[in-house]
Amino acid sequence: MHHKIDLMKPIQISLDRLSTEPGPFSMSYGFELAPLINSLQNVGLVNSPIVMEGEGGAILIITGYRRIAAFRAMGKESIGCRMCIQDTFAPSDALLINFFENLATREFNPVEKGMILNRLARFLSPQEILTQYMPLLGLASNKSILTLYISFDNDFDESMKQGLAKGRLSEQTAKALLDMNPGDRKAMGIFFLALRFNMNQQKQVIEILTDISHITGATIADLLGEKEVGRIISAPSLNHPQKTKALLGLWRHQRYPRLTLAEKTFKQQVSRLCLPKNVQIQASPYFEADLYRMEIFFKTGKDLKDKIEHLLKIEELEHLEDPWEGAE
Amino acid sequence: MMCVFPVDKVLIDKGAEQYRLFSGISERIKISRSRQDREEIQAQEMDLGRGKKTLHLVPYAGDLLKPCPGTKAHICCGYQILNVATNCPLDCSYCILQSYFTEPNLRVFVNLEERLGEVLNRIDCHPDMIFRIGTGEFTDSLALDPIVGWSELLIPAFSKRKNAILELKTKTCNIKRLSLLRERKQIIISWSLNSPFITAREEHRAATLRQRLETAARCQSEGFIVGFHFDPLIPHSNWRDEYLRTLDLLDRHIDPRRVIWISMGSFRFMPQLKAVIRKRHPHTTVLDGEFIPGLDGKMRYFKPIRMELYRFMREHLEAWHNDLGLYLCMESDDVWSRSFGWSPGDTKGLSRFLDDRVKKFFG
Repeated sequence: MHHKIDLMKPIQISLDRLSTEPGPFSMSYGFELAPLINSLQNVGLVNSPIVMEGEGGAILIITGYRRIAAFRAMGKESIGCRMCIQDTFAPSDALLINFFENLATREFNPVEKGMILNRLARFLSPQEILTQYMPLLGLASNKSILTLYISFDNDFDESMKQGLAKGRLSEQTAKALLDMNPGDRKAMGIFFLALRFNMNQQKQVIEILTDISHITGATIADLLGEKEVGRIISAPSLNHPQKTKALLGLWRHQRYPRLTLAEKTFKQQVSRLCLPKNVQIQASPYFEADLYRMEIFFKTGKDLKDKIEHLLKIEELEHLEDPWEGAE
Repeated sequence: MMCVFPVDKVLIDKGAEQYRLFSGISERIKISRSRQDREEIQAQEMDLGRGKKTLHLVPYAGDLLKPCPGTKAHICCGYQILNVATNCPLDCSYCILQSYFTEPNLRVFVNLEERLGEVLNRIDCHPDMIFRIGTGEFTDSLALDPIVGWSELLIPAFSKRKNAILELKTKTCNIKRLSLLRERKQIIISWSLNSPFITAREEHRAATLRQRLETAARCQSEGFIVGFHFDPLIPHSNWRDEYLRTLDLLDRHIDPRRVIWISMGSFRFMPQLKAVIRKRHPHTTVLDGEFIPGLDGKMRYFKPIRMELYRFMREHLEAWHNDLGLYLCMESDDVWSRSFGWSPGDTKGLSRFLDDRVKKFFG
């Protein structure tokens, strides 16, 4: 097979004859054409695409889908391709040529990995994919991971695939979205892509909304459609980070009413103390430890002494207690 | 009444047949000689549902007796775990074992009888120490007793030792085999209890609350000392009334003077368990509470919620009887003091408290 490719001489093929669709062998998704166009403009086509005559005279792209797309974007009319005759290559050979050519030159994004595994699954046994191809893709040889990546290809719509390929949705988020019903998945995906939550925030939002959904029986799509959520999203005075913060605060309060109330009460208690400048009182994370911490920043011993004297005069300090004590 | 758990498949590790426990098991259930290599078993995907019906007979090479691992910054009871099996045929939605072991099968250690001497020697070599030993940490102590016959092996051996007690902790009614034995000394049969709501909704395949307490009452009438464990306490809608219903049942069935201890612990779990619970028990309510990451990395209820649970239970249990050996499982000194009005201070202090209970009941 390799020998045959080596012997092929490129021939000019009109771009009109080449499909604009990636076809069954391409493994490219979510790519940027600009760097490739820049390269082609500077040094020309170094490596010709490989194509194959399909049924009824159609030409299938085996490798070089991105190069062909770049030529098209550059306004060219034809491109030099190495043409294979259909009988010489089994479809599985064509797929593997594309796979190994890409593997040697670049990293695949998660959607591409899903496409590859999905396509390999048509020709190879799950065992072969698990043991031979998943390690080549940098994935653990695990059935559930195989299923997950194939689902990226099968179950995500275009916008979600774009988000995942471009890193705006993390793989962890994508996995969590797949666990949702299609309605919730779609609503959540649109929401994440519109509001630009970072990966950690995506994780928090999914976890909190999944919990609220279980507790209240409302779907995630319903929760995202609530009035208050809409008000925050459309607030003209808030920028993206402020909106994400406000939404997380809203849901966190719904999910953890007692904890958030305690946090608020504690903040108010400390604020009422009117502590001297550069003196802080902090609770342990989630109030789990039994001690509070005071930090005093000072310039000189005199400054420290003044601050301590100031603290001693704050009568309210004596009444500082766990923020839930008064409420019980 | 017995709780019989179906075994669909029996896997036998190399060399398992030579042990006496294996012979007993093969007399009690039909073993279809289905052998599998260890590598083959480990390569299988985790299927906890199937694992609960697959008995895996294994000679165990590790330490048979291990101290309860405890957890950072919390007071432990100083219990010792006798490692007789891993995993459990019951299917409680909150069970931590769902994410604890890498193999899902019911692994029974068939060389227990041959190796028990190691444990007994250790006990005998430390006559000044009290060994509080239990088998209910990594499995239910009695769920598989009708098949394995642990009672006949363990009860006579521990009953002879004055510086040890054996606690068999269960959610079943499988006391038939142990009832037939003469020994009662140094043996504690204990039940995990919860509210009727949690028991019915979350403790799948376990005996009902009433069945457990009727069985406990029978054990008391047959001369056994009993214990109870309200662990995990789970706040849910109407939880106060629901837990009071359990306490009412306790009062109806149990003589509190023959209860050695009652422990309490609130639901806590390693973060990775949450996804397993969501997947295996999609309708569960056990994840609904306000969980925060505790000082040991486990998820726990926000502190005032835990204290509220413990205070409520303590007040009502103490109103029932004022000497129940109440203690908290894996809580901080702070939570102890503020929920119970006293604290053992540390693990040594709690161990001393529980050792004193042993001395009081068994001399």
